[in-house]
Amino acid sequence: MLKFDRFTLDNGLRFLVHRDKTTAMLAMNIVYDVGSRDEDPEKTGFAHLFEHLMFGGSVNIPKYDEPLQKAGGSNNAFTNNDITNYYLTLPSANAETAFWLESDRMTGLAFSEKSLEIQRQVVVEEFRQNYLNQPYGDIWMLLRSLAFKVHPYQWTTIGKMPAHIEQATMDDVKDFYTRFYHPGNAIVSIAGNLKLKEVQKLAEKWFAGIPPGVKHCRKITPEPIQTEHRFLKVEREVPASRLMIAFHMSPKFAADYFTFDLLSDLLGWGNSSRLYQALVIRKKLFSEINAFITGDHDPGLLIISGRLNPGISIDEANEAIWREIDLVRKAAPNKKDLIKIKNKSLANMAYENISLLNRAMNLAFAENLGDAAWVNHLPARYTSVTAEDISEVAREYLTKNNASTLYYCSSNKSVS
Amino acid sequence: MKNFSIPNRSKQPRLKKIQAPELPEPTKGVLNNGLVYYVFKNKLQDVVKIDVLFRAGSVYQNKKLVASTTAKMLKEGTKSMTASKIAERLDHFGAYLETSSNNDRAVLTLFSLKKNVRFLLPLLAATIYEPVFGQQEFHIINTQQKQEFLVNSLKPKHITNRVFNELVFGPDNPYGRTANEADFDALRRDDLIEFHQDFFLNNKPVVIFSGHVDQTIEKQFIELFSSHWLTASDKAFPDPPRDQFATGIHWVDKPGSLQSAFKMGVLTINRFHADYPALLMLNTVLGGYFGSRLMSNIREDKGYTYGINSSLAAYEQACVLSISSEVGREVTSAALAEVQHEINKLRTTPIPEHELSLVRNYLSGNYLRNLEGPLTLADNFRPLIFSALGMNYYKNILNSFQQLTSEELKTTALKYLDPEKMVTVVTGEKLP
Repeated sequence: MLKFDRFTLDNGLRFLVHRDKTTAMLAMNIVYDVGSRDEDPEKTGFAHLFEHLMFGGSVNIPKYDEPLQKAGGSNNAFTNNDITNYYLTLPSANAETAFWLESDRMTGLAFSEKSLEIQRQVVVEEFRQNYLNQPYGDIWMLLRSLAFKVHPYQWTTIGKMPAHIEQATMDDVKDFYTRFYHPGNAIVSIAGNLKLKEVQKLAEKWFAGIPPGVKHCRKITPEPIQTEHRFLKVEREVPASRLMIAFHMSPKFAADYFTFDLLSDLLGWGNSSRLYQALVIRKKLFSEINAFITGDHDPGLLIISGRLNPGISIDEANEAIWREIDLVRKAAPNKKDLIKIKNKSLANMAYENISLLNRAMNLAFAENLGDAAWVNHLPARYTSVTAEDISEVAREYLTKNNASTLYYCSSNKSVS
Repeated sequence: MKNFSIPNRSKQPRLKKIQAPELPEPTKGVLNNGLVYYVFKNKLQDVVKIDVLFRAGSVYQNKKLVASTTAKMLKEGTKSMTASKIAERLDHFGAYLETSSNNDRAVLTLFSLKKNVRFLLPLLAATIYEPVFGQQEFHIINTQQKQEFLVNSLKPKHITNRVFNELVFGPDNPYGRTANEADFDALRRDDLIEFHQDFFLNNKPVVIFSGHVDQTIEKQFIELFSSHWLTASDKAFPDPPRDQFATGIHWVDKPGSLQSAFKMGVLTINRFHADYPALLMLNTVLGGYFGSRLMSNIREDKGYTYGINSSLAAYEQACVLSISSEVGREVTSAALAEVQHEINKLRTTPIPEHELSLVRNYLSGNYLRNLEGPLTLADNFRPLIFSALGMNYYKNILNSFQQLTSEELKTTALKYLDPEKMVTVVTGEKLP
């Protein structure tokens, strides 16, 4: 049970406070409700570029990192399709520095042409380093654009192409800040040894004077229901072919979201999973294979992803996956398997909550989706899934018509 | 509207002195057979972590890949359980058993909820005493590892690291030897069986417990681990590296590469040397944190890279200081020149007091951060187990950070950070 308190300032900024008396550290997490799904299709990669600019100095603080490090703190941030998340940890004795820093960059940024120019270059280098100059670097770009035809999940957070980042202007930056970086669009969570009263005092002092903004109204056209199988085959200079199959699924925390999660675990989480045992150990078609869900806020994907052994035909490997899918469609998992995947999920939630920062993050994420209290309901949501639920979801969603298949083939002929 | 005064945003809130982290020593136990184990008890969370550490890293092997594959295969089948059964059992209890190795050590780590430890300790013991190294399982693991190796061989950063290690230590030194594709084909199951005999069965491990460890767990451990290693001897380290093998700049040509991955570094003093805290501090100033000089100059001022850092890789018998980054093809030479410039600045100009005090605070905060949570003491203790030092080691380092002066650091820089003595590896397209 994760205990927490919640309060909201008059400007709409929400706070979650989790007290842990055993630690000398403080974790602060701020989630802004904006991700790459909120981008203009002609200006992709912008939410993530903006995350970089948040470190380029604010109204009163020329460098974000310097005072934080002086206070013994450390920080980072990430952007995904749904959110942009900023987090820091510092010795609790210096808690006030965290409030000062984060409130200042919520008040206003010190927009400079130089900072924009540099961060455009840095992000283009990030694009090259992680997506263009790496084996399999483009695999997610290919899969996403195959599975989504309308929804902005069709592009990755880094963006469709470096040109989009290079073209970002100062006007775009200012407009983005006004729309998304204001108290009504953010949630602050704090974990550490601070009393609720102390947090309230600091929150009032530093954040209450920030003017409220207008909550943006998200108008994303939902992805239409897929009605036929999609297929893409590419050839790349990689040592081994990879095969990915993506199925559309339910939005995060929807009633059957947990069933999808357990279904993916049953199929491909760990060495005792069905796909691993059947296709790596017994049939020796793959050197590795796993299944997982993307966990997107809007309807996301359940993905099966495997790397082929040398000399195996990718069609044969694909058929073998479908035979395993058929099995889970036909028969509900037995009791032993069901207990196993539930135990594993429950244990992992416990492990995750060991970290102070994770506790702060999970509270903020759940609140952003609807209610921070959901973090405490998750175990029950997993426990209540039945074997029948799993095979029913498999029957309804693990179908050819709902599948996007990517053959990412090795052009190295000696391999396969 | 509530009352609130407008805060003074132009000044950072007053900083307080960062309290030193608590660094309790573990309790030590010795079994009848001489096996030493340590316990860091912490009841905050119902989890337990058990590390079993052997001096069985790759420096001890006579044939490439033997140490890493032996460690990897420990959980791929024992006399009483198949690989699938083991995987099934671990997953059933929501537990993890990692078996891995590095240059110096092989480590088995069991991570479990407290209530399930009793079901898993016998399994942990069996993976150490009676792994079977089945031919089929060996084939699967070896194929996986080879494929992983081939994929990594396409990653510029990975290529750079491999060549760098060879050039720092020399291709014949245990730390410098790197595998190639043919080594996977030459590996045999018998190599693993032999290595296991010598370095696991006849070589006592050290065990570290952390988390919610109670008497029942300790008692069961004693029963399971007391009857082995009665005649085991400790393994001496083979051949500690003395001199750095190469200097200068070495290119690995990768035509068409959009970026160049580079690593520049030097063989240096090990972690128990008296100058090590000063070197650690210099490394932090240079490239050890986000606000470091390299990050400020090469990323935040020039935009040449997504990231650049310097680090100290401390092995049992050696330590390497290195700077690495991936930079745009066109700016490779400019970036390398800036790195040299930053190193030279540390040798010629004392670090200004405000920067030094920032780094002191950052490092103090960082130790506090590293020691946050119920399982972290053990992680920090791991490098010390074969030394006579306890957690006091960290207290001394933290004290040194507070006491070292700019002048002393400059002297240390002159002694250990000499660009002339460094070796640089660049993987990318060399422009005319």
